[in-house]
This record gives sequence, structure tokens and C-alpha cells, in this order.
Amino acid sequence: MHELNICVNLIRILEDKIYNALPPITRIKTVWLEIGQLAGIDLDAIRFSFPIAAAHSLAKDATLEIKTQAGSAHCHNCDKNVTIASLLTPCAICGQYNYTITLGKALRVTKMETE
Amino acid sequence: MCGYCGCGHEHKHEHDHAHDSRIMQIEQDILGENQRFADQNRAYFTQHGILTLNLMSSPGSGKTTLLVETIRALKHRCAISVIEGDQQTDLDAQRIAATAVPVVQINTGKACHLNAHRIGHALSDLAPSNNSVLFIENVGNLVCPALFDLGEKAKIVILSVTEGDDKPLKYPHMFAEASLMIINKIDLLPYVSFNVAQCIEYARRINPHIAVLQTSATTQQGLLPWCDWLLKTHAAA
Repeated sequence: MHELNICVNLIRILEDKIYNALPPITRIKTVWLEIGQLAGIDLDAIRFSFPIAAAHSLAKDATLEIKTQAGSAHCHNCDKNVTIASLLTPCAICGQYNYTITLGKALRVTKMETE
Repeated sequence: MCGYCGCGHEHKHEHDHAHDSRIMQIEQDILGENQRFADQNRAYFTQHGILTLNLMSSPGSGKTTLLVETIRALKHRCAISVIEGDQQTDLDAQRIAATAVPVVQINTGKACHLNAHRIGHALSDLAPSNNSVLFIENVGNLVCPALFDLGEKAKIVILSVTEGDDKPLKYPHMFAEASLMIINKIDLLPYVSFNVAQCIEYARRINPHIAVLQTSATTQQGLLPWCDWLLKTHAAA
């Protein structure tokens, strides 16, 4: 549900960036996002919401390229970094949940292609 | 590859195509704006010694009833104010107003969560007193509010026993963000199949540091430890 709101924020960021650009930008062709597996974001919902949020902006026909960031955590039992696919994934070594997430919460726009 | 625009074609520049394509590096958090407002709110709370708690749960978990009972128990020991978040109506704000503490209602309309910007505006209306406790009752929703920092000191998730003990696993982001889980409506435990120990185990699987309290707002059971937690957290803030 919050993905639409996130896309609205995204469009606002893009519009801020191209505001007053010289030469003037007439459209946004591609937008690259990086979204972590543990960010609590549904990628399908983002893809669904983006065109709605972009409808009245220069990004209305833009292609969305989403790079996912894998989840990773430091296990305090094993003192090792392990891959965590979701918040329900136990440490692959000890099977416990005694870890601190180190990566996978990204929710970032990295670049855009304009003309 | 075309060395000029990187378009992927090996070609001579004879045709008229979009050679004014530009790549703009951005590298910005999409929720960065919310974070800036949340940081401003947090600075305001710190400066005025206000303990702010963000209460989150599904609709109907008993947040407002628990809040009303908490206010009755504590309002003579510390100043309290409330920001109520709902999609529609000011019914909750009316219930809080009946306890005679300051309250502001935010209607989010179609939005499923409160954001830090709305809280900033509510603060100018509410003007909570220095060294007070501010409760923010978020929109009833176990998913979206978890992602939006409001500037609070702690997030508290309230789970009523009628909802089922598996909720921490089903909605892990909410439980991962919370410092405290309150299991509410425990007076109904004899009538529902809710395994308290299992629920706590699930919650700690997601969040090993989460504190747990058990309450019934209607029978007042567990209200004392909850008020102690509040006063202790307030004193430490």
C-alpha cells in the first residue's frame, strides 16, 4: 500500500533534479532504483504504482530499472556475515536469529536518463 | 557501441536520434524527505525533553482504549498529549479529549500511515509542554507505518490476543522496528487459542531485543507494569 506513496516521493525527487536544467529536459526515459530485499517494499507494487504516480510528469513514459540489494546480516553467535533473504531467514550456519542486519534495506534512486 | 551516447548500436551518425540523452546521477534515498522531517521532529522533542512514542497496531487492537486508561492512570504524574492518526473521523480524538489532555487528530484521507511532515504540522497546533509524554496513535495497519520514521523515541506495537499469535511472523517489519510489544486484551485469553509464549518467541525471532508487556485495558490487568515502563522511559529521556 505504501508503494504508491513511495513512487510519489520518487517523482518529486526526479522533478527537483531536472527543475531549471539547461538545456531544458523534455522527458525522463529511464529511472534506476536500488531496493533492498529487507526494505519492506513489494517490487510488483512499485512497478504498478510508478506509472500512476508519473502520469502527469515528464517521467510518464519512463522505464523503471530496479536493482535488488541482497540482504545480509552479522550473526552474533557465529561472528560471521550471512545472507538473509527475509526477516524470517535464520542464520545459515547456526539456525538462530541472533543477528544484526547489515545490508538489504536500501530504497534509493540512483540515476535517471533524460532528454 | 556508439561512443557518443552509449546507445548500444554500432553506427555512423547519419540518422537523427536522441543524442542529447543524458544520464543524471542521483543517489538519493526515496524516503529522504520524510527522514529530514523526522530528524527535525526528533531535534524538537530532544530540545523540549518530550518523550514521544509511536503506537502501531492493526485496527481494533485496543490502542485507543489502552491510551485512555493510561492517561487516566498517569495524567496527574506527568503532562500528556496525543496525536491521533486515522484515515477518517475524529472519533478517537473525541475519546482522548474526554480525558482532558490536549489532542490533535490527523486524517490521512487515503494514506495508510502517518508521515513526519504531518506530525510537524500537528506539533505546531498541539504545542506539547516541556518534559511531557506525547503519544502518536498511528493509523491501524501492521504494514506501512513501520517504514515511516516520525521522529519518535520508540515504536510500540500492540497486538491483541484475538488477532492470533503468529502476527510477528506475518508482519515482521513492524515487529523488527518496535522496541516494545504490548499483548493486549489478555482478559480474553481463556476464550481464544492464543499461545503467549509462542507469540513472544516469534517476536524475538524477528527482534531479539524487543521488550514485552501484557495488558488488558478493560480489566486494568498489566496496567501498572506498563505505566512503570512509561515513567522509567520518560525519566531516561
